[in-house]
Amino acid sequence: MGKKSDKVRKPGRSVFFEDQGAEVAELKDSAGEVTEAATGTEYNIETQLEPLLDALNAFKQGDFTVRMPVQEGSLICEIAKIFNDVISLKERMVDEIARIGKIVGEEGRLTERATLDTAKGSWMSQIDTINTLMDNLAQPTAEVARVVTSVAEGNLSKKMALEVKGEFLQIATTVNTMVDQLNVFAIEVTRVAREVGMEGKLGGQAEVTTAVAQGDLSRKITVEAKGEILELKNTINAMVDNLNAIIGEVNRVMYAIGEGKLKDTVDVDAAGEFALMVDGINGTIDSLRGIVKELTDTGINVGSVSQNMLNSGQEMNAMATQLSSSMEQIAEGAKAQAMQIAAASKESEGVAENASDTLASAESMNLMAEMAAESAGTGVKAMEETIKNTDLMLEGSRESVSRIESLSKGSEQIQEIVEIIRDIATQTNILAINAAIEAVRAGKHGKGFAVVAEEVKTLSADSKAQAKKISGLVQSVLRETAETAQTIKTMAENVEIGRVSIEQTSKAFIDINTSVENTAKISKQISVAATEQKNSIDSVSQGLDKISGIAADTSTCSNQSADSTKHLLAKMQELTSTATSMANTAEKLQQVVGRFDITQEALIVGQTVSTPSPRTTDKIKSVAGRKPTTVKKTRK
Amino acid sequence: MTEEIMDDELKAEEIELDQYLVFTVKDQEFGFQARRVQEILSVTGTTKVPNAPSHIEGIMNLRGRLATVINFRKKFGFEQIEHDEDTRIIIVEQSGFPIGIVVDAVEEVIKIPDDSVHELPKSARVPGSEECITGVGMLKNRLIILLDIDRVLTGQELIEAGAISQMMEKVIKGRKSGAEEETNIEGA
Repeated sequence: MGKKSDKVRKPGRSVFFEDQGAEVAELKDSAGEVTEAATGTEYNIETQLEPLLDALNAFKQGDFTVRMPVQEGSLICEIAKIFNDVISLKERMVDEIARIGKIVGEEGRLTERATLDTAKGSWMSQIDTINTLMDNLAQPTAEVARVVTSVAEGNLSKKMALEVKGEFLQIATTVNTMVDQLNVFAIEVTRVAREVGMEGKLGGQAEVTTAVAQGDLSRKITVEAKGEILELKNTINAMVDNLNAIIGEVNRVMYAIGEGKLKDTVDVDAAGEFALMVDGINGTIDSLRGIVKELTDTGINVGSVSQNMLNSGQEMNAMATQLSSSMEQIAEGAKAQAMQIAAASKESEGVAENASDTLASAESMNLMAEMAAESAGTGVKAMEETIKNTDLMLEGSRESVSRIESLSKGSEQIQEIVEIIRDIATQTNILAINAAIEAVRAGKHGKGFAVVAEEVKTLSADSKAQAKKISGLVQSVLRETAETAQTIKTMAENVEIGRVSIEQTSKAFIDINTSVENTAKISKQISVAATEQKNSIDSVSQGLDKISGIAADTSTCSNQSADSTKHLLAKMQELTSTATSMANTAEKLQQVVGRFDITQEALIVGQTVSTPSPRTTDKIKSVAGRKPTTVKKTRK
Repeated sequence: MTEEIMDDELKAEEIELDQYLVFTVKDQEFGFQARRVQEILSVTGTTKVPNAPSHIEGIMNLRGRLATVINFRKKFGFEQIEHDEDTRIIIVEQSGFPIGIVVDAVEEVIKIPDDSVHELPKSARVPGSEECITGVGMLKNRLIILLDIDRVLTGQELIEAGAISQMMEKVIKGRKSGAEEETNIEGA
């Protein structure tokens, strides 16, 4: 402690001397002058100056208690006064520095400041310098205290301002690094705890371990300090202890967890984020406990369940095999059905086509029947007309026959007349020849007569020829007339026959008409029926189409089902093997989980302060390798 | 004038002689001297004479006179045909008795000049018929066998069957070859 005080004092002193070097010289000069003046003015000045010399020597030797005797009214007196003032000032300053040094150095109170009311000029500067120094020392210390206090309180968000230099900077960096590390550690632990505890994630422990591993919590501040420094030291140490306790406890518990023992919880008094961390860890342990318990139970369950599942799987396997073969049969059946239905659909299309044809035929038959009815009606009318005309014709032919008969008669009469003419002509011829003979007998006198006779003979010949022509004409007329008459007669007969035929035809037409009307009725009915049939067949066809589609779908689906069933079978087999392996796994799990010791010892989780059990302490010892420390809150 | 009158008289004599009544039997034209013919008649009913020759048609009343009717078809040995409207009876006088000759037809009274009348060629002469033929009148395309009425009627009652036909054929055959010679002979 005394050593430190010296250290503190020494700089003050050196500063005093260095800074005040000029003044010392001045002092020396003025002392020299005083000495010269004394030497020069009076002989006894030497004697007078001897005390000054002694005083100065003493001053030189660092004895600030020396004072010069003061003899009023002399220069020496003045010097002595000033000397005495100087030395007393110096003494007071030294005292003040010593005081400050003691307070700061021994008591650690950095808030104390040097005061020297009579000091002026460089003296005052010296005091100011010391105070500035004090300020400079106090500020980082206060900063460290602030941060460390925060850390001790569990607040890891505070950090040192890095506006310092030298060793202070080193301290600030170290503190900051420490805070950072703690922060990381706390965040990691919290995260892991949260993950394990709340989210059920496992596997973050390595980082925790790493974080723990990186934390060297074995160091503590061992310097002796007082005042605020002491407080700082204590705070830091407390913090370290606190951390140590927390981390040791955490390590212990973690180690236990690592060994599969989940009986212990972190039992430490923590605040702020540490409390959160502890809570998280304890929550995690609880969760783990629950999980292990669950796992154990579940493992057992899983064992039996997987056994059951295996059994079921085997049964299902058998069933799936059966199902698969059934599905294949169904698929085949559905395929066959789809094909048959498609064929049926095609058939029904054919039927529909036939029905369409039938309908078309029926319609055309209808149309034809109507046309036939119309034609038959027309035929009947035409027949009636024909009969009328035939009657007229018969009448006409009868008339013709009678006319021809009269014509024939006339011709015969003409013939008779022509015969007469021919007779006459013959007679005339004979007469003419006779006349000619007579003329010959008459000789030359009969010559003219002969000419006449010749002419008459010619005339008679002409007449005869003409008569012959007429006769021929009349003959041909008669012949033709006879033929015509015959023809007309035949015609009349034919007409008569025709008339009968026509009457029969007419009757037939009427019959046809009736039949056609009946046919038309029937064909209309057929048409209606065909339409209905077509509609029905169309419906059937549509239905079949739908069925065909459904059947195709069914076929596809059943194929898919068959495939799926195959997949299912495969999956079932997989499942069976999985169940088998799961049963094995469950057995293993039971073995593994069986390692966890979850014998509940009614550990209280959370912030409840309790003294760690000896066993816990042992654990801490074994884990952290440190003496068990009872953690206390250091903050006042 | 005198010459004219004389000519006329001469001509008149000639006319009388060369005027022929042309008739047909079986499509063959025959001729009689017209001056020997009394008249012609259309066929009237004849009365058969018992035991008379076959060519005697019968007898008839010719305006109060009894006339014998001869059928030339039968006389000439031709086949018999039915009488028709052209069938005529030529009335001639022979030995003061009228005789009717039934022919197929009487055509005309025609003049056949003597230079157109040719003697029947010797080659064509057939015994039994030659004496009743005076010659053959040749007019353009016609061959008219000119018969001597007296000889036809007074000669043999019946001309041998086929004699006329034979003669006709011969006449037609020897028409060109013997025409000049016969004309000369006839002319002489």
